Amino acid sequence: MSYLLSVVLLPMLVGSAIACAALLGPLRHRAAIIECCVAYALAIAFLISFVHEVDLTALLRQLPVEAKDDDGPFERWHRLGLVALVLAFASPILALLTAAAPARRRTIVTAATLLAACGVGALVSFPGASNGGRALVAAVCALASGAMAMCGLRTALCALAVSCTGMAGCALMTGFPSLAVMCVAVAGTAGTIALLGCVPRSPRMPSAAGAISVVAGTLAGTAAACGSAYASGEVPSWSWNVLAVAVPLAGALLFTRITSFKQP
Amino acid sequence: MTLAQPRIRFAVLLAASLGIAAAPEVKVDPATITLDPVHSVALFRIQHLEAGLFWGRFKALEGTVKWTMEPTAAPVFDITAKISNADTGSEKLDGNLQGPNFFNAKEFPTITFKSTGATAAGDRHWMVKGDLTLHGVTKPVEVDCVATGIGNGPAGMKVGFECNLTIKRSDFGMKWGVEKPAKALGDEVKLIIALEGDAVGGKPQ
Repeated sequence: MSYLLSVVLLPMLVGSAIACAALLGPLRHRAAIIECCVAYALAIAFLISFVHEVDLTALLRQLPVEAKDDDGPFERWHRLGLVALVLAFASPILALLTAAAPARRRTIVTAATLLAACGVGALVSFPGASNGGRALVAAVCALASGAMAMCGLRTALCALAVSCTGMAGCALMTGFPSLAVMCVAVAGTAGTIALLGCVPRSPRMPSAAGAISVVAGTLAGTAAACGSAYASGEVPSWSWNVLAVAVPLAGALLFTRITSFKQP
Repeated sequence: MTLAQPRIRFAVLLAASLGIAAAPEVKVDPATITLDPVHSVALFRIQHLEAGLFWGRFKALEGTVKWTMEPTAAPVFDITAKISNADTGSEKLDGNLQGPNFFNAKEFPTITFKSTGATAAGDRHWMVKGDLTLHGVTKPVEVDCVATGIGNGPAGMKVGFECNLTIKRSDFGMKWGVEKPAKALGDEVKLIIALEGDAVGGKPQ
């Protein structure tokens, strides 16, 4: 029980608390604060889950930092934690940038989406990654982020929750429980924040485009790339990418009009 | 006693000692025993949910053993097990074992053991020291090893060994199930390795 508390419930609680403060607190009418906190909440939930599930030293091994008395293995799937760490640092910066230059918001978001996608494709090479495979990973991250950007905030969060729940199921079927619990933690956090967005006191946001779409899309795309790289035969590798891209795309096409909100 | 007598004695002793030194040393080249994958297997045992002791195996071990076949001379092992050859009797479990939470076969496709020395523990029985590489981590281990027999097969001489060791998988970075989730699987893994191979060479020079 304490295991599930630490790898699923604690990340959900921390992520939801951060988002709750932004959505229901005194600064709830500042879109940049909401964007910053929701994006940060998603990244930090994944990161907390990773650190509790794997280890902090596993994350440090991915950085040019030497942990004392550490002779553990360097495993490429631990780069999931590194991606979450970078996104946690980058999301407030991106939210502030878009708030500082609203006229260039679209350009900044597009650049950030491509930068994040290319960064994951170039630097996060899971086993068997050819140049074509890396390009596919980058494309999946960019498409997932782009699809999230087309959604309203709640739709994007619901899409992320559904994508991650599906990937958690795939991970369990292919014998990768660590990825499953991290996906469940993110899905739970996204779902909880989406529910918080239903509280009448919470403000309305017309779009998830910005830090939220970049974090959500990059996390989903990276998790999909990791799952498909390590998957055994039971789940076809394309199903991971479909979950990462098709769910938010379907959300954008089917629900965005229904859940479109007024600008706060 | 004359002066000549000690000189003669010295000359005789010198000649005798030189003679001993010059006698051809019986040097035996070790035979190279190439493992027969059909008859070479590593069984592993691990506790499941603090209850039963679960057995699995790695089929088709590969590698060589160099041994002079003398009862006191220790063999030198160089053995490789492929993770893809893990066999638990359940295809789903075999797939899980190859996943990143256990052996992570995509990144670390083999387990290797290379012996670095040995001490005799009896007749054809040694404590063999060596480096075990598992899950990308190399650690020194000591293996209790017995030569089980030398026989003749249709293709030539066959030699068999049985080796036993116990390791902690967490020492090799395989921590899933030890603490998180707590005690889902044991940390200690007992290994029984049965080797049989075809010997080539090893004749006295």
